[in-house]
Amino acid sequence: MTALLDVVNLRTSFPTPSGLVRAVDGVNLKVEPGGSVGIVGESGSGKSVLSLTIMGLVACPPAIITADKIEFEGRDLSHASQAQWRGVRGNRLAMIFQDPMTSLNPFLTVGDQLAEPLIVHRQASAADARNKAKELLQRVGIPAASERLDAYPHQFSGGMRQRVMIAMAMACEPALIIADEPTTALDVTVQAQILDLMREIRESAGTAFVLITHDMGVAAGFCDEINVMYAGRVVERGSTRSIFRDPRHPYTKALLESVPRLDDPPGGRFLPIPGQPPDLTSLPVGCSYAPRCRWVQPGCLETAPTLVPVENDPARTKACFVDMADPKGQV
Amino acid sequence: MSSSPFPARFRRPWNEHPLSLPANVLWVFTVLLATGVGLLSDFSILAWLAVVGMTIAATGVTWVVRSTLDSPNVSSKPSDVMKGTSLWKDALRRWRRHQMATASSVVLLTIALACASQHALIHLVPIAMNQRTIDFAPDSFFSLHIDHTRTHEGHTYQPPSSRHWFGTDSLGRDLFARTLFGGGISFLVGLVGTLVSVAIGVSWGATAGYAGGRIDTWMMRAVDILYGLPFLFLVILIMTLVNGLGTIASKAEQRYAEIEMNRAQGDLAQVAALEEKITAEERTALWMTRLFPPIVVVFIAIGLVSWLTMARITRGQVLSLREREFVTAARAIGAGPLRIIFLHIVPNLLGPVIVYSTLTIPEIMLSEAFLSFIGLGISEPSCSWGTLASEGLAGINVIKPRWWLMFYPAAALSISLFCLNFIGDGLRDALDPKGDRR
Repeated sequence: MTALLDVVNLRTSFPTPSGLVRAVDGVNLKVEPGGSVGIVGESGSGKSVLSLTIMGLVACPPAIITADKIEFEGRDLSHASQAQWRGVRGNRLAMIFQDPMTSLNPFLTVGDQLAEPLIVHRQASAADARNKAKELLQRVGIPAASERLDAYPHQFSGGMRQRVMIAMAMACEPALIIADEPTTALDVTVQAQILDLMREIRESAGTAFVLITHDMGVAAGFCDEINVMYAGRVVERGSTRSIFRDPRHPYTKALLESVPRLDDPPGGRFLPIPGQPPDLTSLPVGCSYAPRCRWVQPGCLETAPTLVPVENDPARTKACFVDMADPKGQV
Repeated sequence: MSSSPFPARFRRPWNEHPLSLPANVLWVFTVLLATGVGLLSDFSILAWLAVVGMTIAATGVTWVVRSTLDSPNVSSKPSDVMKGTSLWKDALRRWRRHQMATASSVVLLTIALACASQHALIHLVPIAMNQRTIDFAPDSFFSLHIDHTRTHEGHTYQPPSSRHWFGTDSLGRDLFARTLFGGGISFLVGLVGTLVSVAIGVSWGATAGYAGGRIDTWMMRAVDILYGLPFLFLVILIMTLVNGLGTIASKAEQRYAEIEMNRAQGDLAQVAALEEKITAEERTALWMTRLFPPIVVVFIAIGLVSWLTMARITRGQVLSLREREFVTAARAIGAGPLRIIFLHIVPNLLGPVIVYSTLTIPEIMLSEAFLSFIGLGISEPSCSWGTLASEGLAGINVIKPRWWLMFYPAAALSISLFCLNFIGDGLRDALDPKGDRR
């Protein structure tokens, strides 16, 4: 089966007075039709820039984007013109943003905003678009949809606005939706509802999802495959189950240890990751995680590890020299 | 309030009270009428009776409102499911609560309607009379209060009276009619000039702000350079050029009239000789003056120089708006730049643009007044509040204080500008969808 989205060696960097910021530094990403891929990592690891680059929303004169391949539905987007991008965005490839409070235009009614992708891509008439917008609102579980169409975003709660954002993303039945931290700005009960809604859409419409989050719990509940990002690179990749059960990269392990679990003994302490994420303008020569790593070896500081299959589990890859079970025995 | 003779079910908070607006408007008109009647030197008993009557009516309505006033923080109706309502319905509701703005709009509309009906009558009556010269009796209502060009012999420099409500000027023309006519011109110049400046300023500023980078730099440097040129110098330059054209054009018109006369007399040789004499320049000048009559040139000239601040305000707003997430979200659904600018960004500019426009209208009305004062712009027999006020200023001297010449046009101008300010304020509140919707 050909991949829906196939990104090879994507690099996005921003020239700044203090040097080149390598926000995304050689990322490969593959999404199968109907699949769901999670991208996790702490703030500043390049998750959001990665998603904006895939959507073609990073302004190119300031930013420098190179990729060996950005293929979406068999079309190469790495050299696409703005007009070609516009034809894809919102139509086959849609995005859900982090903060539903600010991602809706306060001056347009919810109905107008829901109808917009249909008018842009399907040349729908106003009446058709309105009917479809009503269906979409019902679909995402907003009661009294026909009256709500004429409401303004500020009349909606945060969770309802995020439902509207999801409905907008779904309007043209895209093949892939990129959700950039869709639950971060919401409280926990609403988070669960939104994730349920996304899961339901995935199952009924067969839409593939790329979920970007810093919340390991959210990723665990939603994704089939997880990519752990650190300093613009993917450091570990594998199925959700295997990553959570048996993290092979020290960063993944540290991330999981810093999350509270229900089976933790009471009174136990979380283990925060010491130090700060590295300065993206001057990455260390070796592994960029080495300065914070518990298992650091002398070799880690000299050469940067590449993503290689994990021994005894070829479906997984990691970018680390150290075998955490036996730190002395370097790969 | 406990002594109110009305049952409790009539109680309403001020905002929802059906009579609160009529009470305010009644008071405003009572004061206006009293001022008007007071200024007429030969007031009639009837006029004073009208003032007294209106005062009694206003007092009565106010008393009813006061005695049925409910405390505003007690909501009269429990709010059910919050229904989506249209932007304009909400805006209208918020607008109605803004008492000063509503009262101002009533006053402004009255003035504007009076001016508009004078213009309509002065243009329509000759047509209705088969284009004949107006031959109303000198004491008819039309001659006295509508016809702003008629000179009433033996009635020069009359103070306000029941015959000439606002007095007469040096030629014996009725100042009431002239104030109405001048108002029409002033409003027209203010509105059209503002529309021109908003159209250019918003498009220019929004494009510069949204494009950013080098395009922004060049577009805004152009604005800076235009700012550097003295505003009036530009307008005077344009107006002088046009006046020069007008001189040539009027010469051409004379020649054409002469040709027509000769043709009527059958002197074809003379016709040919005269036609030879008309130069290409004169033809062009005539064509251009017909295309752009002087008043249109005033609109364009003032509009062309007053869009600069609008462009700067717009650009500043767009710079901050385009970084907002909803713009990224709009790009993420595949909207093109024009759609984003005009559908997503410009509506968000409504507030500042409307507020600035209500300041631009008076500004343009005042610029027009100044231009007319220095002899450019509106010229006789046409007039505007600006020209009337400046004529009035010339008519005032210590020995004969002909105050009415300046007072009425200036008062009309001030009241209108005052109302425009309140209307702008009310509009800003009303059009903000985040404003509270009680």
